[in-house]
Amino acid sequence: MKLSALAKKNFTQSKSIIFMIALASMLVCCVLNLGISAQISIVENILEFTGDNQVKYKNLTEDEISRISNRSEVALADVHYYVEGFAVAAADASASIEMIYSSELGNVANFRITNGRGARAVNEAVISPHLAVLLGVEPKVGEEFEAVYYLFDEDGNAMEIETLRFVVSGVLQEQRMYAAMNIYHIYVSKSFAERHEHHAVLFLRFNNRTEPRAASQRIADEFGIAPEDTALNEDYLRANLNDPTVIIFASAVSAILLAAGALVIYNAYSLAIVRKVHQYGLLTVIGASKRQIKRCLYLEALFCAGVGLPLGLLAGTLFGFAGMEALNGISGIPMPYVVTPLAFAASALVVLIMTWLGVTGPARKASLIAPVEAVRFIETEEQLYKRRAIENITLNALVKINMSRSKKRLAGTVLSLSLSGVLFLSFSSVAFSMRGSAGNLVAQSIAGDIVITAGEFGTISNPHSITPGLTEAISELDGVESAAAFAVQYFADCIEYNGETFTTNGQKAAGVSADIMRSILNKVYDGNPTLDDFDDPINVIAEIPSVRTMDFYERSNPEYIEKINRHSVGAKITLDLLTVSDGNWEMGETVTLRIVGLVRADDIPPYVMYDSYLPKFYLPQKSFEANGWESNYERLILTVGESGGGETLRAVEALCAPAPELAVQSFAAYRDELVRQMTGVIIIVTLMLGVVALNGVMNLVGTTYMGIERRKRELGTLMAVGMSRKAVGKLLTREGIWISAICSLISAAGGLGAGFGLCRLMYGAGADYLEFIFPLLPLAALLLVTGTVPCAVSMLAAKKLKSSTIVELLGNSV
Amino acid sequence: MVVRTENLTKIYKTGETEVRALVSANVTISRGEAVAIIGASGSGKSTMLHLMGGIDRPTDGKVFIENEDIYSHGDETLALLRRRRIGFVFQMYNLMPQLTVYENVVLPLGLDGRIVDRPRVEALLESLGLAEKHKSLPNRLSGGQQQRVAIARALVTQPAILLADEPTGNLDSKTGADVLNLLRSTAQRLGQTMAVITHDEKVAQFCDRVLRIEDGAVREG
Repeated sequence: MKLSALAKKNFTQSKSIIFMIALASMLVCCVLNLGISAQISIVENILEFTGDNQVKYKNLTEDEISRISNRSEVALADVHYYVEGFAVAAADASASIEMIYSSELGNVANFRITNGRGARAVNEAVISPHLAVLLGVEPKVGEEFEAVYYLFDEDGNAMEIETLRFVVSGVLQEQRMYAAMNIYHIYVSKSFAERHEHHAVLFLRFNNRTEPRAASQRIADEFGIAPEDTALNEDYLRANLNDPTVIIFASAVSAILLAAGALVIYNAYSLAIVRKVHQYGLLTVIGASKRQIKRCLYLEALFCAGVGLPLGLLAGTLFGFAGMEALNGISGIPMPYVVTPLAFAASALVVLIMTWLGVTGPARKASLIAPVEAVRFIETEEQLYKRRAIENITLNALVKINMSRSKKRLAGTVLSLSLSGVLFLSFSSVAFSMRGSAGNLVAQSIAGDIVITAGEFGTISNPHSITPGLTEAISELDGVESAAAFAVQYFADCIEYNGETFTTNGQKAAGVSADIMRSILNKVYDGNPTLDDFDDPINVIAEIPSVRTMDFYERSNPEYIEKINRHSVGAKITLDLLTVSDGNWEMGETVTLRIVGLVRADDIPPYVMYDSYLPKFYLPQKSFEANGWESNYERLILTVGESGGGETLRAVEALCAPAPELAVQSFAAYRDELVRQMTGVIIIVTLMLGVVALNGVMNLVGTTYMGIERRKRELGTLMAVGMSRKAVGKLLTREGIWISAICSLISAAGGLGAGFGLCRLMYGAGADYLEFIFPLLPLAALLLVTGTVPCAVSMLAAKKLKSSTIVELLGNSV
Repeated sequence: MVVRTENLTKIYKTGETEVRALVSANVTISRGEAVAIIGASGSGKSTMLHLMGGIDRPTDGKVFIENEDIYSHGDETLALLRRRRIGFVFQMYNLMPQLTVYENVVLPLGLDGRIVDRPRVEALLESLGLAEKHKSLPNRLSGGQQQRVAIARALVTQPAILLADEPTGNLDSKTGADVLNLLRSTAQRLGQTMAVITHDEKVAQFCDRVLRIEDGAVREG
């Protein structure tokens, strides 16, 4: 019989090892599939939204475009002709559509043509499926549609130019981000763009060996391109950078998984070898070399992996699919579940490494089994550790000695269960905290029980459609306890920074009711303003962003810091009034506002829409009106009683129905939906982590049983010298209790610590709604497992021992 | 009488097969007596020792230790009897590998909740030539030393009877003889009753009386 045949025979008896490998593969494959899918989605969203380019240049001549495009370091040069003005669908004038010619349409990631080809003739166009819906046509080649082309006149007013007729020459893959945000593009032919007013922009992506920032600067210098005509695609560049936090997090999870998996497999093999001491010893007796025995073990492991791995990969793929479905419920933007060969290959590699790590030690042990052990059927004495001498050997002293006799094995057993526990509790803590913080998350966007928000500034539907009449009608509805209306005025804020002019449209001042103003005044941390101070309508309270946001600006938009640094009590801020006329922005008179108090953004609810990085100014509605600013409201925040919320919500929705641009949000409904979705994720996460825990538990069961199997003679001796069966049972149970206590302590402390740390990390990374909520349920579940399983296993093993007589227990030696 | 057996019978059943290891054995051992029980392999001598020591239960018959029918008790009391009135010495020593020499010796006292009389234990170790080794773990000792530890453990409770199962079976002849001499002299000094199971006639010569077992039946001489 060859050794490989023996290995094959052994492997068929290694169901537990196959099961452990399958579980480990399932976990790794599931995590990898989810991770890769999420990463692909994030990158795709960035690609789609910012484009597959690293830098763009404006105001170039055709010759410059051609020379830059042909440079060796350029991997992709995409020339866009942006047609001036905009189009609207003939049947629906509410949404504006940009018309663009792209030289590389179809060749750029996320802009593939799924059907047909690019536009060549002047009347040909490529559209996306969501644009087809707006146009009321099928997303098919050959469909015809009409669009009305508008151009702005010198005063910035939209002017109808002509009705355009297009034939669809190609259909793009769906643009998920644009579809979600209702942004539309008609991709026209070069000839169409050239016949209309347009401006050219050159997008570049450099080859992998080129550093994009240096290369873009080099080109700008060489061609004399002004800094304002050069823009690096920071989002894209950031997306391609590896975030150290993510790397640390992923490495920690991978290391724990790898260590836990390897430990489980190690223990499983160690136990299997204990069972087969006789077999390996006999092999040595009949002349098998150490190398051959090792090879036999490695082959056996390979056979086990051959069965366990495919099973695990299949289960992991299915499990990942279920996980992604649950995640999609939360994110809003659907993430496709991508199953890549890379995930399978990486999972297989990780599991094979785990198996190799797990089998190496035991294989070495097996190769060192002395022939005499097989002949006499005794085991090699284990390595014992030095300890303090004990005067009187009581039951507890024996327990203590037994616990410290084989520290390596004990550490392996405890670690594999504890690591699983740490993993379970830390991730459950995060999921639990997320679920518990759902109210905070909702409160960040909904500042009352029901919030009605008008459409954004700058759209054709402006001015805001929450009129005083609508406000009054809503506030008189049954169940409405209070209604706070918020008027807003937009400004353009221009500053000089580093020799450049930075203009931000969208700084806004909000007019609030006297009650809201009082509550804002209560939160003022610098200055001592009263309501009387606002008799002068230029006086305002200025919001100061959180330290976290300021840190973000420091990195991304340092000019904002410059703008915010002007905000201090007594400072006068000069801004340009922005108004909307016929759907167009107009910069109006210069306004000076005086800051009489500062309030932290974190201390007040989101009273008005977040549509600018710049913090807001607040003043009473009376002062707001005195300034002659907009008379309609951007937002209406209602407080409703606990009873009747549902009916009131329906009545509010009915009153708002004639204006579809009004968004009605209910705090309770939003929170409940979020909690429901998060519960789904928690269940998936718990199931996944449950698998990890199961690994640890199985390992513990095996180790405990095998440990007792090994100690049969010892236990028999104890009985022979006068220990009762009950006392032996107590001895084993107390050992189990100790293991339980150690596992519980490590798992609880490690899991809570890691969970708290993860929450803080996520908070620092922007999840500012997240507060650590003590995970009572997960902790109880964990303690139930770590606290009872080792005890239960020991008790069961002790019970099993009862079926053997003392003579049988001593039997190994006689 | 320290030990008396009455029609002691042990039958092992494995499926259809029935092995009569011991048949109506009647044995008596007086106080201070050293008895050798000899017989060929599979004759039933180990079964006899196990039954006399209360670590197995007979199919039929009784064992009296100091006139107490040990098998009339449940497991708990039997365990108590073993630790107070019986001392075992096994062929494979059966020492607890995690305990030092001293700890192995005092183990039965600890199990009984008795206070250890350290000078007495040290004297015992001294008499068995183990004084220098009291802190050593069993795996650091030779076979002869390990067996002497097992003897000390058996004697420490001053049992009614010491039962030794092939005490020299795992030792070379010189070490075996040394151990036997030591066992005999210590037992004599302490007035210890003992029964030694062996298949070796030389071992039997160290004892006061010899019992032979053949096919489960016991006879004198």
